[in-house]
Amino acid sequence: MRSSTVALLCGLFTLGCDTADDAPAATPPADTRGTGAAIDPAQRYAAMCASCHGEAGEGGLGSRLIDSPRSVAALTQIIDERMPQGNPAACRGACASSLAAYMKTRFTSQALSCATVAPSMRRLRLLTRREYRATVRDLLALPPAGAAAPATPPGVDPACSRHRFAYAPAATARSVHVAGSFNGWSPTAWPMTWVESAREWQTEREIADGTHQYKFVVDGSQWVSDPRAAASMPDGFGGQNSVLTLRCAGTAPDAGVTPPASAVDVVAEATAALPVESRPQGFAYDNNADSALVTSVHVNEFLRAAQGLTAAVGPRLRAVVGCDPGADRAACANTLVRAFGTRAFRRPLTAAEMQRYGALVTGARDVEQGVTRAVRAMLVSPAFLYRSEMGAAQPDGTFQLTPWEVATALSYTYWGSTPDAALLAAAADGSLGTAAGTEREARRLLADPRARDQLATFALQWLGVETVATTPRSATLFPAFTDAVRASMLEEARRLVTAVAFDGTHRFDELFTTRSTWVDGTLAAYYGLDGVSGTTFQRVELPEARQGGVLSLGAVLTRYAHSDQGSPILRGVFVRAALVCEEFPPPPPNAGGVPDVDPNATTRDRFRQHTANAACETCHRYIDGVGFGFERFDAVGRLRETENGRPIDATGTVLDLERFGAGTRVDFTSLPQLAATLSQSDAARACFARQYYRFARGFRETAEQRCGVLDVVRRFRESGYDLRELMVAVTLTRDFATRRSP
Amino acid sequence: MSLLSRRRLLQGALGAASALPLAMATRRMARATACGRARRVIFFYFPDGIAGRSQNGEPSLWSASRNGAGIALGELLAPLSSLAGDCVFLHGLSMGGTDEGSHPGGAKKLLTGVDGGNGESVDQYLARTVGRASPFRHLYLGAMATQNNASGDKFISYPSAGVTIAPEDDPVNAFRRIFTGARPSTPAPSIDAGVAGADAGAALPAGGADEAADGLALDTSIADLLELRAALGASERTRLDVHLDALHEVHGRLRTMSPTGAPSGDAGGIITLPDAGITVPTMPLPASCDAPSMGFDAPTGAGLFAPENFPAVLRAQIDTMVLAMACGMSRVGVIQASQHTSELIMSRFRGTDMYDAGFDMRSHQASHYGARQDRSNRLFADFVKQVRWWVSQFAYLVEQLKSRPEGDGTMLDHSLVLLCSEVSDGNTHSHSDMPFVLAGRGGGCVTPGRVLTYEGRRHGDLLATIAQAMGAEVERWGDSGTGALPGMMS
Repeated sequence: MRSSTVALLCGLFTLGCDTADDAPAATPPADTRGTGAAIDPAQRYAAMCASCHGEAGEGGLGSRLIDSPRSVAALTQIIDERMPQGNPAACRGACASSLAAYMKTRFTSQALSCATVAPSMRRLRLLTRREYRATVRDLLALPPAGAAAPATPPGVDPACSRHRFAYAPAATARSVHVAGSFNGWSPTAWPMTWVESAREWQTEREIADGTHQYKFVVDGSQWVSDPRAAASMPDGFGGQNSVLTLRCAGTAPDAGVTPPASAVDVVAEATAALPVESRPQGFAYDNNADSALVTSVHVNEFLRAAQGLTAAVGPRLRAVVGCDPGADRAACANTLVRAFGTRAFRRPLTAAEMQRYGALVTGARDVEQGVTRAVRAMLVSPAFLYRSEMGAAQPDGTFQLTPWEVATALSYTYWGSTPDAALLAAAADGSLGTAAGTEREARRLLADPRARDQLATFALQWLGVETVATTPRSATLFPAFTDAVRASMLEEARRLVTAVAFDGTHRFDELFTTRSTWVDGTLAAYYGLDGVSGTTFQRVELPEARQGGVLSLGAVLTRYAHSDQGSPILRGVFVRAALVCEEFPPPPPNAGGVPDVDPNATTRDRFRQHTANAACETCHRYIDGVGFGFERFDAVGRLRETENGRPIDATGTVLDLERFGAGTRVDFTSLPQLAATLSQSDAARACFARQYYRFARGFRETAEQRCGVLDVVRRFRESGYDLRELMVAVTLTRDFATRRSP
Repeated sequence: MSLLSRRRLLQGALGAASALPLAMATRRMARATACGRARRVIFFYFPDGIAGRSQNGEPSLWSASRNGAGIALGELLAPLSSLAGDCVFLHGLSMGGTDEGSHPGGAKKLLTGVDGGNGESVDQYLARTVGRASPFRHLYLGAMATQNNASGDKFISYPSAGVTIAPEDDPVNAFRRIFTGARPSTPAPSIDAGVAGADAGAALPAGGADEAADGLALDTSIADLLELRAALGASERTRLDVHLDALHEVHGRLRTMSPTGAPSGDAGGIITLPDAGITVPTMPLPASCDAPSMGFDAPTGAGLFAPENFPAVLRAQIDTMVLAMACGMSRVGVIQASQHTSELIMSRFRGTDMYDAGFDMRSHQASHYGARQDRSNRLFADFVKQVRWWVSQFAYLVEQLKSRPEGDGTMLDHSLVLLCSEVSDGNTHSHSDMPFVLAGRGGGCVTPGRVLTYEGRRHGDLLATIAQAMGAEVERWGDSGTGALPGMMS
């Protein structure tokens, strides 16, 4: 144990001492059985070396590796015996030699110039559970998450209800569509017609019996509720969806009483047992492409989901796939493989696929059975389950994403779901083949309400707070921390980030400097804020002690704590890792856990040993001084003035914020001051861009993506750190649409 | 549910699967080993190791030694006292390297035998070789193993180098999936319907579930995937091979669920594994497999991650694993209890000696008990209780296998069950003298009731021994492995 503590110490301060001349020869690499070289050295470098040596070997706490005079053999020996610091066993033999070779060939001044941008690998990106659910909702016109499902009593003709929508906009509109739970919230599927005599836009549609939500889409981008709707409900974005309840004549169970909509979310139910995603260490998002394997458990559950989903759609499925009521099997097969097939696979089907899926319809007992079989088969096909980023071969040996793949990348980046009809049309007509066309679609997608939901998903994963829903907290110590509080804290985090990005200044610094947050009655009472009640979230000004933007979110404060006490360490590491993109080696063995709860001490006092102990201090000087800034909050996000009867000290220090080894120091006396410091930090700004890049691309960037990331950071900076422009930037970079093969 | 009574391991039924290339790894093949009679293996993992040798040099409380005709067990192993004659207690095995390292480093190497998890794990290898004729090649059940959006290094099963899969943490899901196959509630499909082609529907009765749909979907998926793979060359080859393997496994499963009943030649019958040319004796299934019922009341949803529920969840997973194995559903199982650097609050386990309503003691917190190995050190005292509890859960698993008759003995006689963790001494992250216990006779391959010491040998050699007992033609396993442990196999 002592040796690794010493090694850690040495690693952080004396990397230059690694001359390797005095070391014995390395043991020859062991037999690593078959697939020993399967881990990409670039990924190994990013995970094990970059935190000290810089992402492209530019140096930091560790020595500079660019244009290293050492030979591959000498580097191999150093890695084999000493690296990574504190845990040299993690990379020996073939691992060490492949890393050394990688450093020598990649970390050159020429590569650093960004004269050329190295493309990322061709990939198949398995839909995450989240993406799968959103996709089938759109594809099969199933209700959005949280919305009431159409409650169709058995035996009722599901299409006996016609309804006329009418809308009279205040200003002149070029187009109006109606979008709702009945048409997958497509902003383009149901156009309305201007009726001059009535001075309004109208359309009449057949809609299944039940309760539906909808809005009007004006000029393709403005979502407005229906002023004439009899009812409305929150849309999850701060606005209201209009609610339409249809019931065929004679089937209303009790006159005047609207039956409660079904509480069952058929999509959630059908997909409840899909396996969880495996997230690599240090990758915060659920969509890492390289770690997504389809096992037999997945196949089992994909089959089960497909069956449950088609059963839930029921007789509507025929209409969903585009078949006319009178179409026979052959006609319907033809329609299905062209219309629905293109939507499901996000590209036109190949001739062989048309043949295969068409045969499922023509070979069935009747149209209903055939359509169901074909849809079930499509929902388990690799063409549906993977988002293709394989590209088409180019003369220079690279691969260029096809327009269909570009459309898919855009929609999953901004919506977390499948492309809509307009996006597929843009793929088909070639307009996605140009940067201008791609940017135009990117901006259209970002103007859609679904983009807010997707950014909220990013926010929860970036902040690492999704687990606040279930992470255990002591009920004895914190009886007020209920499930309702947990849920409201997550909504608070979603609202704060999306409000800044879409409604506020749009700027990065507001994430930290905002003086307000979003609470409902539950959270207001929990935080001790006045003036808010009920279930609607409202923006409220915060007292200064609670300010700090994302840093003082209840979810963040709760997540980075233990079940019975706050943790300056977890909070400090959160800032340095999630917000500044720095990494630390794991604590050495025998470092000790959280010190015993001493009823007479404050948390801060108990952790002072870190800075008193030289072995701990090498890392904890960067961590604890930041984490102490959160001391005014307990383990469940409540303000406190004292701890164990002693006054709270929430002053702190940030060392080397912009770069390890820079020797800078910022002292602060409160959390809002720490937040203000981060809001102006280039390292934090670049880190945010990097985090969004990871989320958008589904992999952890390596040195190869350095120039692509720098390009995104540059665009972010030139926009004045506008969050919307950052979102656009990830699909405008030079490496967005280019791929390479292994 | 009468599905199981019709489920048979039909000889040659997996013909489609047998055509698969073993593409993920080329392994050094040895001559067929003498044994290979173990019918099943279960790896039982618990987090954060054990209390090791004290700072003053006193031996670990994890100890086993010959004591006349019996075996004397130290405090940590005491829950196995009544089962000592069924276990081999292993001392001296090292995970290799410098014995330095970490929790993730150990978890990556535990079943792969390779540093950094840069290789397939032995459970996955066995599943796709000697286990491939089973309806479920691999069962991976967890208890709070995926808690807190666990990163991939918390999992111990590697289908390919560097990539883990997550275990099923929900006992209800696990039971449903194993005992009703791909279908949640529909009757068994026709054996022909799934593969006979697109016109199979004509033969189906009108109305009711479409029993052919899953088989047809798998057929189109396989065709789609083969075209995709051909078009992609080297890109994503491993991912698509794993996917293809999974499609074939489920396809085979649908086909073996025959509604017409299978030949009655099960008793003493032979399954031929086309790839390896290995034969394994089969046994008649216990009557309980005709109508398996979920003999537990397990939590679901958020309740799966409440520490109070952990003992019930783990118990349910153990029961499900044993029943699945008893019914011939699989030969290879992994049970993962929690995850390394565990945040599991074991002081909330009611009815145990760890219970403390007033204090939350997390597993990993206790494991770093520091230098003082005395009971006045709360961390140490609690860690001892925790490790004993893990051992008692392993003992329960072994007891269950021992209580079920099978062939001329019990299930345990035909099984191998390995107790394992990712570090040895949790306090120092030591990777030497790993705390392994192997229970069962493995069909006569292993003679239990012994204490065996292998100083200087790698834990990969133990994995190679287990693999050979399962009939796999594996000479060595992992980094620096030298071959099966001498004296282990009969």
